[in-house]
Amino acid sequence: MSNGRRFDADDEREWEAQERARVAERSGAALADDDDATATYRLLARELSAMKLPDLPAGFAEAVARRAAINAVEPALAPFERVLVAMLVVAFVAAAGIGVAAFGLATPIVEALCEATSNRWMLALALCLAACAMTAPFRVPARR
Amino acid sequence: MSADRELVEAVLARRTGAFERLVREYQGLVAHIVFRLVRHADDANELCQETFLRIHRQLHQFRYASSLKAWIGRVAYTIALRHLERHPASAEPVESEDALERAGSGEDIESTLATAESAAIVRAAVDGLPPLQRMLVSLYHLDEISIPEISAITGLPPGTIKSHLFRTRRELRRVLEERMGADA
Repeated sequence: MSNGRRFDADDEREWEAQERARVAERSGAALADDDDATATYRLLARELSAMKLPDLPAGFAEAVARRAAINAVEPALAPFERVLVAMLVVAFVAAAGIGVAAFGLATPIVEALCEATSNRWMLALALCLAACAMTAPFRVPARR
Repeated sequence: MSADRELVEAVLARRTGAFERLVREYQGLVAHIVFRLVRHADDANELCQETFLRIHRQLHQFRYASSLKAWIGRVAYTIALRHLERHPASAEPVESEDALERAGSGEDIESTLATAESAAIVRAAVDGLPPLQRMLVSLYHLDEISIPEISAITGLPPGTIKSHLFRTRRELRRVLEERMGADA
């Protein structure tokens, strides 16, 4: 025994009886020295190996596999990070609203944006970047 | 290629049905570990699901240092143990079916009743054990998992597991003899 609680000779003999009973019960073999203790251990081994535990619900494996597949395509962000991102988006939208309300649409930034997106290539690039950003959470992350 | 490696690589390659196969293969082991530690059925069911979802997320970290069975068992054990630390009441016994009521109507009524009686005694005694001892006895006898494998699952030294098993079985023997003797 390596856990500090030493087995004495009697304990070791009793452990051997427990193990003999367990092995004999599993193999169905008869025991030569079937004394009272070993007989009780054999009965115990029989009951312990026959004990029923609650079953998982039918279809458990399918349900878990489905949930795992769904989770695998969900955004990789943790809930806290998701809240932060949402707050950031709300702050940007609010700032833009306040800016438009205060200065109208005739601001240098809005004019520059309108000018940039009037170029078809720039517009295509902007759309590609937007599509990339929006589909990122649904892409399967690379493993190993 | 070993069966473990084949299954792990199939799951990592996201082959259809591979993860479901893994769940099917190990759901018994996970259920035994979790249900032996956490007695509340709804909690235990939820923890079994959580175990497999974590396995799905972390399988790429499996390095074949132990068997897949031991690695999966370890995940289940860790999750159930953490739940027990947060909700100690989950370890308390739940209503269980009386073994005497489960006894079949065999030809030898006396022997059937004796079997049902010893089963009921052992079941009640096991139900009264602390969660760790309950789980160790169950893994060793019901799942026939060896002491080194149980050690890999729980992280306990083999000597400690042997000691727990020895003392638990000695106590169960005492209860069984006492009850069977008292009823005779």
